[in-house]
Amino acid sequence: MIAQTADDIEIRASEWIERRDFGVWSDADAKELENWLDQSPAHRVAFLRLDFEWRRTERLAALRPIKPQASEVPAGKWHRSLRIAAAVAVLGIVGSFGASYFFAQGGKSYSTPLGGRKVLTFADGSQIELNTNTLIRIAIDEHKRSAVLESGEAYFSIKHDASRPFVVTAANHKVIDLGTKFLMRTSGNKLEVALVEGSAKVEPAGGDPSHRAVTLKPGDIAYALPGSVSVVRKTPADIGSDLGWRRGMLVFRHATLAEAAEEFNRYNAQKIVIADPETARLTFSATLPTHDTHTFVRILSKLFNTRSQTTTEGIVISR
Amino acid sequence: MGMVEKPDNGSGKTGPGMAPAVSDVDAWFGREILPLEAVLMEFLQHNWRNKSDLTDFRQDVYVRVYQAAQKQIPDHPRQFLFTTARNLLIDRVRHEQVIPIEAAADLEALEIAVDTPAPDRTLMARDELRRVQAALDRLPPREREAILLGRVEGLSRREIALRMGIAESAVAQYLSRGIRGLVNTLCNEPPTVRRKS
Repeated sequence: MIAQTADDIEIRASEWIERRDFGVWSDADAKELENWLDQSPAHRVAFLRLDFEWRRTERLAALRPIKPQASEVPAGKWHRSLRIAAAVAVLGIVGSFGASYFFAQGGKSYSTPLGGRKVLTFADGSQIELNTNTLIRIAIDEHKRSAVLESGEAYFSIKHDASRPFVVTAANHKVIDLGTKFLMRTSGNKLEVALVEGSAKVEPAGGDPSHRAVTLKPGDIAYALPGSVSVVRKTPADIGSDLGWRRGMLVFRHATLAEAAEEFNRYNAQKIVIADPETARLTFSATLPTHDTHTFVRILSKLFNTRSQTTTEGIVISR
Repeated sequence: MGMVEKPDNGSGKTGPGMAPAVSDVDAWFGREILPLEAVLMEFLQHNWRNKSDLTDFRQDVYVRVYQAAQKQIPDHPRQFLFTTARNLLIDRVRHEQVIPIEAAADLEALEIAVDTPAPDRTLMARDELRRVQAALDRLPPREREAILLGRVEGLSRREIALRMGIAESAVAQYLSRGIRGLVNTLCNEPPTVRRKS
């Protein structure tokens, strides 16, 4: 092979990134890129260097303008009314009084308790898997398929149907499935969408979608806040980690103790409290069962010599 | 060598014989090594006479660091990077058989460079958008326009071509050149904030 200079390799690497992010990109292209990267470590480091720094520019998406009058006011109203409907729906199940009035549009609520997990399978072959502490409302009929993720996290595996696209609303944003598998997590006004397979569109609910829709590709994670959507790309391994709960596991990769405690607390009534910011910043990698706070606490004491104390607040970890 | 870690027997986080996963090595490289590029280039410029092949030199350093990390991820990335750069400098000097006097003298002082403090990451994160925008402003107009349409408006190559009224192949050129321009600006700007040692 002819010796290439670092500049030649850099040009080639930038062409790969351009093709991946802006061109037509198939599995065959991804395979071709893999081969090129495997050809030489010089290819790999040049690509990594460009790709890592290039990702820093993804936050430019945050500059996308959003008109508050157009999207937020009607979306907020819509959202609030659904919140009430969902709250009443839960009451309806518990108190078994007729709530059919609130379901004029059709639909049904499903929820999981703290630490719970549930798989919903639908007649069209689609599956929705609910994680801990989740509330979702789903309406599927012969004309449309829609859901409102009120809170929590769900994994969607949707059978494509061009005449009935699957639309999920959460935190004032709509995710429109274009035949796909994706993970959605919402709390308060924040929404995170991770695309695993296929493609999906994220746009503000109720606003003019033409300029602000973001189309996600596999590996993309969209973070939506009122007024902005930014997209970052994760490796398949990282996305796999985010889906660990489907196997009942939490996967931590270079996670801080603060992040890990927050994750465990999503699943368990007995909370973990990290006593001080110094300890909260320690990082570790491990795969642990979602319910096994005790193993987590034990591992921390082995790794970092932490002490634990059970109080009314929960298990307090300190050094 | 004093306090400098040897590249070949650094005690990694994974056990001996357990090669780290490719994605872990890639993530480590991006997180620990790439942010040091400005400091590394300063070091190489200071110690290598032939300024024309600095990017090739940098690439060789990265390749060696990456290959070592594939076997075992070094505990002290910063020391590891600079020790690797230093050893490569020594190899080259030996290979050329003529020892340039200034290079030999500087080799004595290399360990000082290892202690150059890392940029403060929280401050960097806060300034990130501003820095990216500044880098963008340094691109030639057509490249900047193509990158903005792609990155801010989320358009594809084809849509950018329609918007700019030029061929898709030209857009591909502007985009890939824009990517390189942005990255090289972002990598080579000296860290803005340095902790006092």
